[in-house]
Amino acid sequence: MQQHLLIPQHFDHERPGLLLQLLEEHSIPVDIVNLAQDSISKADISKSSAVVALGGPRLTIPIEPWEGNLKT
Amino acid sequence: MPDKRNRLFDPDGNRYAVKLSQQGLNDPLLSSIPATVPVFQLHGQTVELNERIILLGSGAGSQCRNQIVKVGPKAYGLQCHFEMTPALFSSWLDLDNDLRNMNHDCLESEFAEISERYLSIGLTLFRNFLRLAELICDPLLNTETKPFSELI
Repeated sequence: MQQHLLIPQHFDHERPGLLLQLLEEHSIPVDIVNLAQDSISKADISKSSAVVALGGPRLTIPIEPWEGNLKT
Repeated sequence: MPDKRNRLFDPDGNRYAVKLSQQGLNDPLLSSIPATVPVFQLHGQTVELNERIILLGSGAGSQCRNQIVKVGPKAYGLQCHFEMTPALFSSWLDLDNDLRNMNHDCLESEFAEISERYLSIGLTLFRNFLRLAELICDPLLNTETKPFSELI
């Protein structure tokens, strides 16, 4: 599995900022998904090695359908 | 909703801060992070916890209480803006509807007071996250190594 990071983004003006700097520094591939325009599927999260939601609480809403994927 | 006058201090004049829970103190994401950290707060809502969500860090008082949550072995939600950089902060002053109408000189001055520490904490936290996600190497960190697809 290719290491890959998925970052859901809710608001257009919010950016991964410091995290993106680190990702670029280490040449780590990342998908930034704008939830205002795009959706995230179970397949998206399955191919990701980790997920971090930054910012507002609405970012947690898409996590709900992924419950099965996130259980230990 | 929080006081609209400022995103660094609460209405009582106390700096917004997040205190780590015992689980937070023991979580690899927050390794080497102080037990209480100052935060920039651009929100007035809070995450509602359920039995599947572990609270790792909380704000003081009743506003924006649940700020750092864990929803899976490598899935986290950070409501406080540890991704903030000075450049991002400056851009938000013009882009965010609330910040646009505040005193920018005051906000920038108050952010400058904590920016160095904030950046240091943010870098530590995100490096921890990238190690946890196995996106950068760290032989000292012992964490779960399976991808999400194998954790079902």
